Amino acid sequence: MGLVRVVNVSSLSVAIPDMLVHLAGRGDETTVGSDVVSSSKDLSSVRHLVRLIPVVTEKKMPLWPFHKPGTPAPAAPPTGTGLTPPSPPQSDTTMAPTVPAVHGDGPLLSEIRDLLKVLVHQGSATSHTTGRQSLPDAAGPSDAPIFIPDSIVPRGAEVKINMNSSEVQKPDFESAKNALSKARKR
Amino acid sequence: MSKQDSKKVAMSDLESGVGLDCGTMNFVAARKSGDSIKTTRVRDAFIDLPVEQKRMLTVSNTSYVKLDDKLLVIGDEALETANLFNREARRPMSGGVITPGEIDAQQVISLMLGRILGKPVRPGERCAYSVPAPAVDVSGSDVTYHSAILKKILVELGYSPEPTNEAHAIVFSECQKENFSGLGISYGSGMTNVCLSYNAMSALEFSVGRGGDWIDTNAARAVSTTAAKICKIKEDGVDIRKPLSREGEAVALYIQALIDYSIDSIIKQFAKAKNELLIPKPIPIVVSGGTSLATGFLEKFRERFESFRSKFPVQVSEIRSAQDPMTAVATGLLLIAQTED
Repeated sequence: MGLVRVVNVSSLSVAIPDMLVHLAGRGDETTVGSDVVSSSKDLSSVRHLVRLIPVVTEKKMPLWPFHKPGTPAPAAPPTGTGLTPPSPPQSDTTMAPTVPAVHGDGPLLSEIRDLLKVLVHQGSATSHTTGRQSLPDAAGPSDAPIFIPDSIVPRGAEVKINMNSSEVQKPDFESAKNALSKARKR
Repeated sequence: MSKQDSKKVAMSDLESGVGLDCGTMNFVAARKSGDSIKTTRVRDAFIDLPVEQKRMLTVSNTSYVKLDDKLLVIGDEALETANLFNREARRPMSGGVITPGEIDAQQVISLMLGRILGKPVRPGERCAYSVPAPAVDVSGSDVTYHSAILKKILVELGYSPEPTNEAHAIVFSECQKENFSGLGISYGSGMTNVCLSYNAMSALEFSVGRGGDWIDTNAARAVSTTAAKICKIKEDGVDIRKPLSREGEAVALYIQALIDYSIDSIIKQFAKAKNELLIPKPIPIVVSGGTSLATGFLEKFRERFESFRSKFPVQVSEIRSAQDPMTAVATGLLLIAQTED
């Protein structure tokens, strides 16, 4: 069973009785099981007021070149070198890279490690997409990142744009401005 | 006094803070100068032509942009040129928002905005710009991209942008005597936006994905003509109380359907939030937007409203039109841009 974040995107408080959810105002959120979401009948009436975001939990998998220290037996130093054998690790719960222990293959290992990072990243992205599609109501604002170009206004363009202009007297504008300022401060 | 000096004086007359209505059909900027509100408008459309046509455009005083190796006719002239060459003009926005991925369109929008806004009166001048609410009847409706692109353009132009709901801006512009309480309805080209404001605070905002373009498309289909021709008939002035042609009858029919649909949507959206909305006194309904310019629109709205009144969730003191439906949003935004937080 997956989890789904229910986020209030309206300025109103939102109640979804059969999910036992009450969100106070914009930005308020809670997390529920995806089966609660899919079985809710009350959700449809407030669907436009909330955003459903699947919670992605990445699977923890021990990937080479990382390993749990202590799992493989530490190599004993060759006899006659005078070195003491390495002490066993204190805990087997922490992860540590083995790369520094390997000599001579640094660039190759670095390349393999980068490739593995890419694969892990792609894997989590796929599971995220699958999670969204499995929701009962996947319609709504996209959670995908937004691409905004670095620069939109073109420089050096030859521009000749005619526009329509008009002017009206609005002597009450100042009083409206003051009234609005007071209303907003209240 | 040189021309440049007079321009400087004109710029110095303008007060800091500008309102910008970013509509599917028109961009409108509003600035204050003394007791006057100055508005500038450009049609939100363009069409590309072969670069060789540039001389012809220069001679005929037509708006154009030459961008790298592209020649684009801009604004009202784009529609005229499209009719001349029997082509469709390109619209940088559809359904109330910027079309994602249309890089050409974004550049054209930025040039249009640069033209109607002019240079900032001071660095980082506030610019309140309009954004629609997500449409309740359009799957996946999202205004985040639209708002972010406009913000980026305005920052590049040297402004400090501030997004504001377009229907809320109508209440700011038109409901001072009710202390900015009212139901603003913006009948735009791409969509219809609704905002219930009470004491200047927005209590409910939403939109429906039907507007002037929906009328054009459906009326055109009904009488076997093009949406562009229906749009022209509408803009030339059609009296929906006494339509004189089949096209006019079709426009009148679909305007009535749009009014019914929008009022019904308001009732449904209010019903969903009924426990949260307690409006203690009657409020006005203000209709605005280019689609509301059709002769007889307000009368038709009042007439149709009566058939819904018993179900309407708030008491309505009066139904009126904005003073100028084409500039009401920009004027309301100007008020926001010039008001201290």
